[in-house]
Amino acid sequence: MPPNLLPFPAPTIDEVSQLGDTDPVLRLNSRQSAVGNLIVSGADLAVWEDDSRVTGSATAAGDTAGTPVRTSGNRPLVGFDAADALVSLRHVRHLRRALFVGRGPTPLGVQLFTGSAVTVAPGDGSRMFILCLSRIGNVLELRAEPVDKNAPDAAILTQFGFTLTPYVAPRESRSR
Amino acid sequence: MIAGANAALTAENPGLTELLVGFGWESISSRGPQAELVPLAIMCDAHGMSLSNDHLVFFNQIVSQDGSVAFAGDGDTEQIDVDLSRVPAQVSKIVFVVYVDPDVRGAGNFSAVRSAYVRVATRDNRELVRFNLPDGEARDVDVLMFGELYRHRDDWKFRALGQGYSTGLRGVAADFGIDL
Repeated sequence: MPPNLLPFPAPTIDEVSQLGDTDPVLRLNSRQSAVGNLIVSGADLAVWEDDSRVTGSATAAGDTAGTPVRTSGNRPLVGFDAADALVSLRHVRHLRRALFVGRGPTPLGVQLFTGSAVTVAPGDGSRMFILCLSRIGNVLELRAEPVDKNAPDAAILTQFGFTLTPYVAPRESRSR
Repeated sequence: MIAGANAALTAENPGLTELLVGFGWESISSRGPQAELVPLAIMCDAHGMSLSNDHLVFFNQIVSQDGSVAFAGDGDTEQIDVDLSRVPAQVSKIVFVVYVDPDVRGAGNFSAVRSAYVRVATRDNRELVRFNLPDGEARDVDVLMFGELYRHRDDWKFRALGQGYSTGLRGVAADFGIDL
């Protein structure tokens, strides 16, 4: 996306070390948004919405809900690999947005193929920050959003407008 | 064509300005994660370095800043259009590489890739040259340079390449001065 079409100036990942109250948002460039993986550490929950509004979630513990989005490389568009949540950036054009929640002792962190990294502020006694990912044209925007620390996951999903798409497992046609 | 060979394009085809560069390959299918191949065009100066990060064209940066190189529609596995009349004078060559996306879950390499080719055609798809990359050679690489369009005096020629990188996109970025 040409710079003059972006909604407002935002710092780069190399200009921000921590997303939080001081620096709530950063924007990747078109190459950072498209090569390898966006790796989110410290997440317990990942939620995604693709460009067809197909929505689903996965947890680090292995639970899933909603509808998975598979890519042509036989990998999920967003999902967990061991303890890390991963976004398949080769297919970033199919991603509309994603959200990552971490409730453990380790703060949320983001790492790119280039090694560039940023952490998310842990919050305070009443608030925690979650990480919101939005695709704007050909670039990804990362934003730390404060939420009630005691809010259950379902309430956070509702707060951010995610409604999980009912999953219908594909099956062989029985017609002859 | 064979690797290293070149072919005159505009000298043999007066008036030729709009080219279609088509890429194709077949991947041995598997149920597990597969290598995902990504074509990338790099617009280079006289020293062989990318003019800028805006002089790269790939799926997430689909048109060069000057509009001369652009991802195109259907046909082949991937296609890139080049309008030679709009290529800036400081561009000496346009290198076409195909890289394996460096996914941390086992990116793979070209070992599962067969029948790779690059071809150059006119805008109405009349094929001018084709380079079939040899199967089974250097397939442990994760980037292959398929070919390049380059200026020769007042004309444009195409050279078949076929060299590979085992250092991935980082190696390409270092060699061409690209800031990923």
